[in-house]
Amino acid sequence: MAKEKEAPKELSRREFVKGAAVGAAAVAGAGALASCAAPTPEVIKETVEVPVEVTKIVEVPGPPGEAGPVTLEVPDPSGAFEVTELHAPRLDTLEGKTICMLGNESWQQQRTSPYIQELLEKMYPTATFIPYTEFPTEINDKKIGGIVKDAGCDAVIIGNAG
Amino acid sequence: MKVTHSGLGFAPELAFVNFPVTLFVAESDLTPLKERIEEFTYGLTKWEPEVTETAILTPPKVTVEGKDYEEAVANMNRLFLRNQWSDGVPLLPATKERVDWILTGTDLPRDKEIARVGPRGGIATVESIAVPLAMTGGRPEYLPVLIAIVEGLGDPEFKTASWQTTSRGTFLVAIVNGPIGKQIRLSKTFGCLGPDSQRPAGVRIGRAVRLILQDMGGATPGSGTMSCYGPNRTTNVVISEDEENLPAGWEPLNTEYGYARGTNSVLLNVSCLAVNMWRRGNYIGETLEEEQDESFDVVAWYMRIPPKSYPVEGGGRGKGSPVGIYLINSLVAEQMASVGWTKESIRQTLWERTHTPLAEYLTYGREVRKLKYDNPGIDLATLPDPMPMYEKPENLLIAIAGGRHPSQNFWLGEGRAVCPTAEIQLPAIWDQLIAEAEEDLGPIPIDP
Repeated sequence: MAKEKEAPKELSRREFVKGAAVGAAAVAGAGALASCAAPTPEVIKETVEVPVEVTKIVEVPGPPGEAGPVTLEVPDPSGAFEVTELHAPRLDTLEGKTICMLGNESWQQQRTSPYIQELLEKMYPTATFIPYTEFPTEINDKKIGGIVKDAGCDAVIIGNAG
Repeated sequence: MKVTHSGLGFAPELAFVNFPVTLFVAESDLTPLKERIEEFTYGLTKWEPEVTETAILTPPKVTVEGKDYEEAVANMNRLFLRNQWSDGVPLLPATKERVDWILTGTDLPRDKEIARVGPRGGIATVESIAVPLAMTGGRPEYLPVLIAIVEGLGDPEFKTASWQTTSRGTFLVAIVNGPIGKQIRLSKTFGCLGPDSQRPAGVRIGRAVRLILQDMGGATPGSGTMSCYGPNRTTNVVISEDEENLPAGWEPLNTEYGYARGTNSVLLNVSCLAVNMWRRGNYIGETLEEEQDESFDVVAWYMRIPPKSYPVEGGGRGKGSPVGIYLINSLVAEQMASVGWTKESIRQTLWERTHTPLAEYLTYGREVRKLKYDNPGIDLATLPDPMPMYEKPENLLIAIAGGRHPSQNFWLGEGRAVCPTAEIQLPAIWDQLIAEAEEDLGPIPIDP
């Protein structure tokens, strides 16, 4: 990585003023030498600013400054992701199947889950439904997969995300 | 929902029926369920996933062009905004050169997995952790701290997926102990929770944490995270404890978690509250001893809000949970210590002074409802009077940080039950990195 370095030659505005002051002093010296030949004294009226602050110019990492098109290659910051689980095959029908309702008891599940079950029971009268109250509420726990299999569930409806 | 599903190891695709949040509030109209019931049937019988094999999915690198460097960087930032990879503040390009430079901050192999960040479950490797740090203007010497933080994020007991997805206003708090804090210029005194040009490490590490939580963890506002307000998430809180100015007899925070004094380590917690506490006395005749004692009345008042579920056996959100981190600046800590206060006595006093009269507690309908739900048949008359607001004094964490001024303390409240800690591992070239930092940034600033 490019490191910050001092720019050896570049001058800040204040350093330019300092340089100008040195120039003015040289002119004054020339005037003094001239005075040896010509005794008329020369008065310098210009006020010279004496710099008291040194500005450090640093070069920071940044644009390389090349002309023409630039291509940047950067990583996708979301990184890698591992798929370890696959979705179960879909059912051909819900008729005659066991449908399990799962939930975390949040977001009005005591109302939404029974209502969904009620609607599906009317649509699929030969299906069996196991209500959410029969299952643990830790639906993020991987153990839940084994629990629903043991219960004989053919399909699962999970809610409610919040 | 797709993001949370990914955290369980599935591809980010799911058969789901999405409803507006208004369906899920008290006394809502359930008609939309009836109108869309066929979609439930479709999800169980017709929907098909696109990913049909287990695999590690690694995204390709992104190429961005521009007529010059400036335009290419601008285009990269536009792309990151569109892909929801940005935090909204301009980012630097994580070029190979910049990432390789950041990676000089560790001796760990770049492909070593550090954590899987929930809820999405993105794989955080040493290299993928260095990427956001490169984007936020980080430096190699920051990397060991960031790796330790990510290690903590992966602690299953910390439940990062849970506090990331919640509607609460959670943000990460990382307290660093050991000499590394001063070496990398972490803030610990005046303005330590905010920006500081002389001490940029905390905001740059904290911003990289945010990108990790969002990009690898999936916490995009309104989908991967439902935090209604999302406070303090741009930079989170990454500070150092002011170990140099601890009062005599007070030990650093990390010694309470088994580390020897002087060990480089980080402690994580999550807060929802960031409250300045004007704790100073009014200077109308009180002694130093009275001022310190009375300041705890003020602090306890802040800490009682909002009430927590009473921690009884078998239930209660407050059970075993640290209620938060109480930040005391080192000058105030010296004053307290000079009149006999210790961390232990402060904890005990604040635990007692945050107790609430039972009659007042029983007016908190939400809390009483939860208490009854968790403890069927409970006799409210048997509850203690006054009621403790958290289980035990040790639930309160105390860290010494903040500007040395007698007036203020700070409260990072509503913490989590688990505080992961991790030792910070330095590379063999650590001294060289610190020397280069001094060359680049100037001498380590002297704290006022």
